[in-house]
Amino acid sequence: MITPTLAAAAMLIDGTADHASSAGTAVSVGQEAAFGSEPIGVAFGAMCARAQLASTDLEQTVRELSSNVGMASIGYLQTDNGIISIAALQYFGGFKP
Amino acid sequence: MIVGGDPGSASGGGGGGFPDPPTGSPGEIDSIVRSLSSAADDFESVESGLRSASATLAEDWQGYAANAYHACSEGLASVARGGAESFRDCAQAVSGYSRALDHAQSEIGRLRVLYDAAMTAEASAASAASTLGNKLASATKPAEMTKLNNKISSAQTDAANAAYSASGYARQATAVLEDFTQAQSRYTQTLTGTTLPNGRPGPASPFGPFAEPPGAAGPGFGLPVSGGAAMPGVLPGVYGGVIPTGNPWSQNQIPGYGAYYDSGHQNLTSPGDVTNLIVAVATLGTGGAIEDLGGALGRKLASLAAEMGLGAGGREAVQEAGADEYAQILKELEERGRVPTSSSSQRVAWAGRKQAIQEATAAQAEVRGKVADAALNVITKGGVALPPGLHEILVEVAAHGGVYLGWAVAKLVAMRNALAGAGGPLANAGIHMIDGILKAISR
Repeated sequence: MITPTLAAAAMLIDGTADHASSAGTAVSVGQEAAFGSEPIGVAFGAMCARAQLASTDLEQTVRELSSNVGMASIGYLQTDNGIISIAALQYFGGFKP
Repeated sequence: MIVGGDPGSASGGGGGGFPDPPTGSPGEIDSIVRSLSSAADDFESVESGLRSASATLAEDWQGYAANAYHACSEGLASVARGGAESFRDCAQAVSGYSRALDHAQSEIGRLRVLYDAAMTAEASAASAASTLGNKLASATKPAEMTKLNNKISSAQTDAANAAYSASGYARQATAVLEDFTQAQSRYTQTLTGTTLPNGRPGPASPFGPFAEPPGAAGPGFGLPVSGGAAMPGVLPGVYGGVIPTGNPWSQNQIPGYGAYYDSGHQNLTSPGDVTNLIVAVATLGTGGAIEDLGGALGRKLASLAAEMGLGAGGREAVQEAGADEYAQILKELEERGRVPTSSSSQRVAWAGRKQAIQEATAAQAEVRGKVADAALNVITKGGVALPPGLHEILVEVAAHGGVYLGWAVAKLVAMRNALAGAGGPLANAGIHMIDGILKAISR
């Protein structure tokens, strides 16, 4: 059984991951050549590397969030102790954190 | 004589005292500015998309899991907001630099034309004075000598004036270059995270949960920064939508939480925690500080895949071997007094739910395998080259994690011991990673 609202939200979230990927592409390496031999080119290259790390991390996290919402839409929850069935969870009385 | 002096150009001297213009292409840099602005737009789209998704779920999904999701989504949106602000700051700095570069290049170029003309005029006047001097040496008539002396004096004056002009142009160019160098320093400080164009103390400072402290050596674009370096790999664990459940023994009655180890021990774990192990191993295999171990790691993974008997019914053998190794670890830990005995009664308590656990575990195994397979396919399509065997191992471990748990922990401990014996920075990085894995699966 699928919960449509959750599934739709998962798709919406996954779509935002493409934006994070696009941002990473925008700061691809090699552009520092435009700065010639000026010192700022080194700082720019380092900035691009950090921006790419952030873009990659953001994309990965958004996709995980989307995946986990998607799993919830089909009845499973990703917890810090593994994947659990919502049906089983409800049978045992829900979370008791 | 040109007296422009050493211009102190970062680009090196040239033209006998006239500074070289700064290098670089303002046109290409303007293109970079547009890319940075576009990246800022992208991060803002991530933020708005996450907030939009949360809004659609606000009424339809409520409870503990929903609260965990909303907390993750809100935190991640803040991260995206902070990253967007960093991109905007950097775009502004690069744009300002482009204008400064364009001005310096055009102004120094204009002065160079004037300087060259003055130098030519000086040379011409000096040559004329020399020619006249030769004529004067052979002159005999007083009137002619007076006339030549006057012409020589005039030519020497012209040469001196031209030299003075050239010197002035060189000094002006040097001043332009110095102004540019100072501007470059300011814009560089923005890119390195020291200051911002509008005077804020550091990129992304007002935004995001991981805003950098003033003077941080580099904007993190939303990532946490420690010791001047951005820390990748933190966001998924914090905002990936994993629902915290706490201590599975004492507070939850959820199938799939059966733990082999008592939760009071540092290295204790449960079958469900193998998911964390997968994430950690995937991180271990795809980059970071231990990237240099890739070749060796790839061979190790291939070896592990063969050892696990993937696709050849070797699971039972591994389970048996893993149980033996795991028992040995337990024995050693017990001998050190690090395994509380209360775990036995807790195991007995869980045994009463055996049927439900088995059913839930089977469902989990199927989902884990599918999710891992799909996730790894996405990673591969994204251009990340996985080490040989990693995909098969992760899918197998994901689907049948409980079987391999003891074996995996034993392998990790063995690898850690080997690295500790090897020593060196790479080995220490590996040890640090393994400790992180063990810690992750011990919750």
